[in-house]
Amino acid sequence: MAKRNSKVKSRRATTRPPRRPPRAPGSRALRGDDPRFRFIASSSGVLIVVLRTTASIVEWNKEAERFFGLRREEVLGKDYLEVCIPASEREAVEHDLAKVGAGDPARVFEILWQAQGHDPRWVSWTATRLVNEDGTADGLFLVGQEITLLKEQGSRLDGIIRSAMDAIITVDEAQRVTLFNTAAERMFGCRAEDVLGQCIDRFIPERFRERHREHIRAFGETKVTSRSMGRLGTIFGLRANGEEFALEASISQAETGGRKLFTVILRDLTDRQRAMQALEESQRFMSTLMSNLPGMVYRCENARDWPMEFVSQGCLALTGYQPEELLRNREVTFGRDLIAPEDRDRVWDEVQAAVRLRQPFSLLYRIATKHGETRWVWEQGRGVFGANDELVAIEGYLSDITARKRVEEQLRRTEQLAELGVLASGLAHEIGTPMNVILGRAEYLLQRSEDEAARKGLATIVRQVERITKIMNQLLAYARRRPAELRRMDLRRTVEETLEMIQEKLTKHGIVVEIDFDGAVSEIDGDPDQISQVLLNLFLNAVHAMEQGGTLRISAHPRQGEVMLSVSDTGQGISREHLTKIFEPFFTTKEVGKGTGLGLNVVTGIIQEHHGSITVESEPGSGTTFTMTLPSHRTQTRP
Amino acid sequence: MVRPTILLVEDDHEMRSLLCDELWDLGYPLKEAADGDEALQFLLATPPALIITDLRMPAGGLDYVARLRHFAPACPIIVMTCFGDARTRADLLRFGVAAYFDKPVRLGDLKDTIKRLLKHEEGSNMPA
Repeated sequence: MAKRNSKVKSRRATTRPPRRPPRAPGSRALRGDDPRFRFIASSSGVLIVVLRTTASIVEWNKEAERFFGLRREEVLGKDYLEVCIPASEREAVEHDLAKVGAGDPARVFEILWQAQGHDPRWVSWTATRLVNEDGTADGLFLVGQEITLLKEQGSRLDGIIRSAMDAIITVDEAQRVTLFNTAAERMFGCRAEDVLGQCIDRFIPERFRERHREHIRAFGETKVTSRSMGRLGTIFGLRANGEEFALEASISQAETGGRKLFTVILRDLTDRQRAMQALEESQRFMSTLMSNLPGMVYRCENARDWPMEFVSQGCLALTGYQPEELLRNREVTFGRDLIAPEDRDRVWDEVQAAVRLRQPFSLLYRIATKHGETRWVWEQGRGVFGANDELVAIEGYLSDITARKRVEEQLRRTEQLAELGVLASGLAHEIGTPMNVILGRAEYLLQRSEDEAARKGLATIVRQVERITKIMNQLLAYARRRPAELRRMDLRRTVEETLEMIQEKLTKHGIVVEIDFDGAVSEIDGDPDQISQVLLNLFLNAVHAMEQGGTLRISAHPRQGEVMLSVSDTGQGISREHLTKIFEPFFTTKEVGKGTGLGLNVVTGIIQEHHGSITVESEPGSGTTFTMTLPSHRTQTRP
Repeated sequence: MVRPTILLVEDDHEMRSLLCDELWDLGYPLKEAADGDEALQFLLATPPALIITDLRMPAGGLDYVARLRHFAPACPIIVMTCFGDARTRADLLRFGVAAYFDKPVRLGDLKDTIKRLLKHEEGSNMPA
């Protein structure tokens, strides 16, 4: 600005609203030699210059002397244009002065003046015609006022308005636009020159126009100078291309020259709304994603109990607890109540090791659900560090891998079985012939010996070889077992048929059979031969436990898509010490030669192949109950 | 007339010895072979009255039994094998073996079967 001002520049203020020409003082009274005039001229604080019609200066007041640095004596008789107007403006000013001299109303022109050794200063000149009493022209009366400060403020304001990021629009009481800045041009997509003087309505969607007018009117009646327009909710603007958009606005009012002007400052909310929408969308997406994940997302403190700060909705399906139940300061804690006791230390140690190394971790461990079920979970997580590199939380994701574990376990068992099959077959082949030689030799000698002691010994050899043979046969049967073929089968019928097979033993030992089948239980998905084998094993165990008589009770009840099948006896029961071992291969409590110890192992294998489970409860002296779950038959006729 | 022989095929010497001792008193000449090839050589030279054979031994197996059957279609064959499974048993019976025993076999049972088969054999060989 300063640079531009150093060059003498001026602008003619022709946009000023026309004014009534100031009443010209009587020409006589304005003669330079009139003491009254001299007094007014010297004390008015404005520059006063009086010209002859020839533009030569006849009066020059003190203020003019001070402003131009030229004494009255120096300028009298000189040309006003040469003394007071920079060369570039002279022609235009001369033209204006001629017009006023010819009878036009007063003219105002603004001149940028730079005297030597001074900053450029703005002067606003008002030229009025002086007439003699007879109405003839007597020269011009010029009043100059320094407006540098005003101009600077104005141009500063102009600059602010022009460069403002927000749209600034001024309207008058008739809602006509009087100011429209660059940002407004951008916002509404039109040029200021096309808008000035037009009604503001074109920027307001039609349905809001009436209300807007009413607001402005009501605001105008208040003494409030400014307020936010968004208080009554989002308001909308209308672009030149017809697009509606949300905006935020504030309004202020000011009175100038008897006119009330309203200035609105508008901010386009489109981008902000878009950003908000994108944010909301991404939050919604994240929360949907988290709640639909078949696992649990969490954030917790790094403490042994793992107090949870956040858990996703998947918590319920995974753990049986509502997310709220697990949050910090609740009774249930992840570390104490969920992680299996035998895994707790390992989980803690592995997480700590990973956190120390600033590395993510991945863990497998067991949890106990609210319903007491054990599940295998896979956890992936990492430490979250704050600005000062301090650990603030652990975040991660847990998924249920119980089913995968089960499949792996089954595969492992199948592989074991296959290995056992190979081993057993090889063994059988290797020992079959030697056993046959021993058995055969013993038989051979037995037929030919007369010696009682020798015969007794030989008979023992035969029995013992037969015992080994039986064990080998069971081992082979176990190892060569074919996989279960699940199909729809009638459980009750299989129970009854299996009981039929041991009817003789039941009668012999005086065992009473009770069958308690819930009416709802009929069919399961199973392999009838293998289920029969399971039942036979359990029944024979029961008979063995009740050689002095008792009750064999078989019951079945539906439970959540499964059938609970129980086989109970009232026999001698199993000691606590033995109870934990009964499902292990080759474990037997039966006396030598009566059991191989493979029966319950076969039972467990078959039940697991049926995706079921088996548990045992026993009270020494009062009996044993085996409880199995088996899958109900899934009907094909689904709704 | 040369009495027809019983062919004993068994790779285990002790087992073969046991069978020889046990079957000696049946009154049939016993011919021993230690593997499948030896058995076939003998079979081609002198058709036996009965073959008692192990299954798993050098040059043995199901193919071997099938060859025996092929070269001696009318001769009863008794197969013994260590803890055979149901499938092996079914395959052998399909080949037309006369009897099948899992080792260890009771000598009494084996001998009863041999006697039964030889009696039947003699009966069928009687001139009309």
